[in-house]
Amino acid sequence: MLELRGAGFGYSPQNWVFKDLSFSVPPGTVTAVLGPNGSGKTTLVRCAAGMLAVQEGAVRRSETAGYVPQARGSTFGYPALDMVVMGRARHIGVFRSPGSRDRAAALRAMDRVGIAALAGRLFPTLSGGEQQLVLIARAIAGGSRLLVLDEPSTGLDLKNQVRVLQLLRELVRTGMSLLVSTHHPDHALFLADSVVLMGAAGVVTGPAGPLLADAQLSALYGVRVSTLNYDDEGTPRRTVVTPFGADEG
Amino acid sequence: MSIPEANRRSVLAAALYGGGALFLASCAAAGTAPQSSPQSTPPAGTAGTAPPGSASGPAGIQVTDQRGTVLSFDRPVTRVVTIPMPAASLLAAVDQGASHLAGMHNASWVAMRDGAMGAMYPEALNIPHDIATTDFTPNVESIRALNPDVVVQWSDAQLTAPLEQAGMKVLGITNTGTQQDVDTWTALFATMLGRPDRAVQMKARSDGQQKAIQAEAAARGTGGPGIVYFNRFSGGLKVAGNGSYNDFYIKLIGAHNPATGPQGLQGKGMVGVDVEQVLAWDPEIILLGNFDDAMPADVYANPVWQSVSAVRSRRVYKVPLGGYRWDPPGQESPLMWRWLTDVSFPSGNRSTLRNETNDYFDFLYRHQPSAPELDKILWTEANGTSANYRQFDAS
Amino acid sequence: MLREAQPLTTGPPGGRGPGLRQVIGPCLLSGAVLAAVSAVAFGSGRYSVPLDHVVQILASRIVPFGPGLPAAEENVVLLVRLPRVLLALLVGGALAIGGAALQAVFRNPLVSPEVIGVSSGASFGGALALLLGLGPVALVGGSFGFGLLALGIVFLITSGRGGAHILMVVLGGIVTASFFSALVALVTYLADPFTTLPAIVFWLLGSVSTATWAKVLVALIPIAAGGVVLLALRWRINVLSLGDDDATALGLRPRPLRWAVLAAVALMVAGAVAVSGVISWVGLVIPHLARMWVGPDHRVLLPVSFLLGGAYLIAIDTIARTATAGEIPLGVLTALIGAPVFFVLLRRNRERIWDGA
Repeated sequence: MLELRGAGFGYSPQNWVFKDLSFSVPPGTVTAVLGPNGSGKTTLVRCAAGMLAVQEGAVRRSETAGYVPQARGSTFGYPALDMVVMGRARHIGVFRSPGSRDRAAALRAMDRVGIAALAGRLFPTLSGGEQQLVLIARAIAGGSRLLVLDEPSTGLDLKNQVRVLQLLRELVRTGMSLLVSTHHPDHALFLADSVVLMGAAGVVTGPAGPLLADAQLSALYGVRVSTLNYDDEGTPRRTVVTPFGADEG
Repeated sequence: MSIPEANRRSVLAAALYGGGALFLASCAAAGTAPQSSPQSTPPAGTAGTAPPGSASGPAGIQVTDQRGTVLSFDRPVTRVVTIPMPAASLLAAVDQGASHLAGMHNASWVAMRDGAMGAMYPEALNIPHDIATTDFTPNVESIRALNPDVVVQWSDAQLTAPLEQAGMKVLGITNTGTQQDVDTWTALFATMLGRPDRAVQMKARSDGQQKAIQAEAAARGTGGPGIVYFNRFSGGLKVAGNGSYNDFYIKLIGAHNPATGPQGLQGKGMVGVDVEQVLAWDPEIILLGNFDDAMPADVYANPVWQSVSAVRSRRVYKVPLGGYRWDPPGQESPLMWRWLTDVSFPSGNRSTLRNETNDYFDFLYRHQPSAPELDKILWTEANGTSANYRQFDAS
Repeated sequence: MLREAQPLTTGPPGGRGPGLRQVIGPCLLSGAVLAAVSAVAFGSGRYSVPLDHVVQILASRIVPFGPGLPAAEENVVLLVRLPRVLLALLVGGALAIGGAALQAVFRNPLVSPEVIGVSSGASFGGALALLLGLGPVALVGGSFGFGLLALGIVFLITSGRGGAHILMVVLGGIVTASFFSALVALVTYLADPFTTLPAIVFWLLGSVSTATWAKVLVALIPIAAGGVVLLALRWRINVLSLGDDDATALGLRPRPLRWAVLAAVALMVAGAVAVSGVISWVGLVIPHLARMWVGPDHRVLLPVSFLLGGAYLIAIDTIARTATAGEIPLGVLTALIGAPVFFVLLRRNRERIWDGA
């Protein structure tokens, strides 16, 4: 469970990234953070995870958050299992090394994420999607029921995007709380219960349904965005589209 | 490029280069230090040959330095600035005084201050000595301000050119590390100072001494001790190898140098060695040079060296430090040969070294060292615990 | 050089679990290599001592046996070779394990202990002591002190807001190293060319030829202290090698941890330079070779680097003192051998390092 109350963060007094922001992420729900480049999504999620300290207001968490950064590759070729075990760092003393319990927890996390077969593979040799899944497993291995993810589907191909999103929904169903920042309104549409829209005019928070609409999204991104309802073999679905040629003659 | 253009271009280029060359040549001719055209002097001396040409007569003195450059002086020089380290004390020896020394290298000054020269010529310690850097690059303006008749400098063009361009006369000398250097430099200095006979005298005495030492060695026959000379001992070992002056005098007195023997080194000059190699050579005598501050006591106290012959028989000696170090070739080298002979082949009688030193110093410097000064020169205290050193005591 | 290199995907294929066996195995093997090299070192030298005598002399330190041997031979083995081998072990090991830790902390495989300025500071301290003619104690103490001072300067440069970012630390180290190198040049310029300058040059070239038991003890203390700290933090160094972001995400505090590692490395490097002068290339090449064998997991890499670094320097030193009657300075040999080896390594990994980060 995560809660922000009147939180504010800025790099200088004139330059607030967000101010007086309040929202909460109850267990079993997903909150998506949306906004154009440079709007401060990453700053917000890092504050929420506790990696940055807010300068105003408070951030309350029921437990330490597991933070999942974007998968960026790694200088050193550690096996995937070793990477996941590193998620246990909070439970391992300063001068100690991981033990069998840590390894077992890591394997369970990898199992839950569905990547147990990758345990022996070297991390840099994995695909982008597999790497992202390893990082999610790493956060889970730490034992936290609150996950904060920073743009987890950036740079992934469609198949891997699907894989990650489906995993996240799975995790939510088991009662975890998720705070996810994303560039894809589509993903928010699929996953989120609430959204935080960080626009030029200010930050808007609320339930996902009403806010993921044409007017709000267009205002957020500064470009014409439409939401469509369509029929997928009998199942009604909703999606977000951006007509790219809209401004051309 | 069409042919007419090429022609025009190359003619222009030729004119430019030709004109430029002419211009530069005339500048060079006008700008160099005054040098008289070579007269009927003997061929220019190269390092190691007979004393360079010199002629002195009513018209003045001419000297050919070791670069082959001829210098002319109207009168004997009275103000000499020396940059090479051994030159200052050699000049004082040739001149039997330091009155004509107008400036010297800082290292020479330090050697004087710490050695016997400072005691013999206390006024020499007032001579300006801030005239060059440690790598002998001259400070042209300070030297110019001293108004010298001639500057003695190593023959490297980089070191002599700045002085010559400032209009000063430069006597270039080269260093081969042999006895020849001393003879050559002595002749050059003596001629410049207007005392050419002095050079003849000094060389005669030195040659005489050398013959005497050689005769003694021959009379003794074969079998002398193994002597290793350490240029550096404290921080890493360096010994005298092939072609070094120390190797020369070790063999001169009838001993041998393991560092240049059958199990010896390949290198020339001073060569770094491993301690095990010295232990394998097992020298009977160890000489510690004046280039670092290692003393016989340091060797005796060091457990690694306990098994060496020289340590067991306590024959570790610090080389004496007179008007200049006795390690490299110098005007006091004949005394070094006597010292080394008596140390290596002690006769049981009192050594003649003290008398010889008094005599030689008188001949060189017009000054006889006092007994305490002699003790300082001979490192009597440091060498006191070594074998056979009592022979050098004052009677 | 400072942008992220491609991942070093070297290491045993199929991955390994972090089991104890995987740590002990390579360590034992490295230890065996070290023992073999040391044995050759004890038996080699320009003063010939028969091998059985060598064994007897060494064993008799623990349990005396056998007939008395010539004092000369005992001297050579116990007072010349033994301290020298131990010193080479300590120095080579310290430089190698320090290099491995730094490559992790700076996340760049091209980093060596010279980059944090400690080697330059220590070399200046030693050169200054030689210039002032202060004697061997000041030589060791001065170089050790200035080595640590260099790290202190780097700390000052990078302290304050936005300070100890990895890039800032590297830049601070380079600045400090350049500063002290300039001071060393000044010292060589001022030194008497006949007496002091050769001593300084000898010091700067690096050597263990002046090894004594006193020096072994002096080196042992900081190297052991730093080494213990590094080995205790070996798993945390793994986490640190992922980058500050990931490390913070996982609950670590990367800055204090990084400074702890740097301080430990500085202690070891300053201790090594204080007794042996500047020996380069060991801290750069050995971690690479070790990583090619055991992979990047520092639980194995750090101890193996130490053992292999010690073996390497012992081997080089043995060559330096036995190849010819004269002695070749150690720093020269490590550079002559290290540079081509590193060149070959670069070529092998070229596709990975230069193919766009």
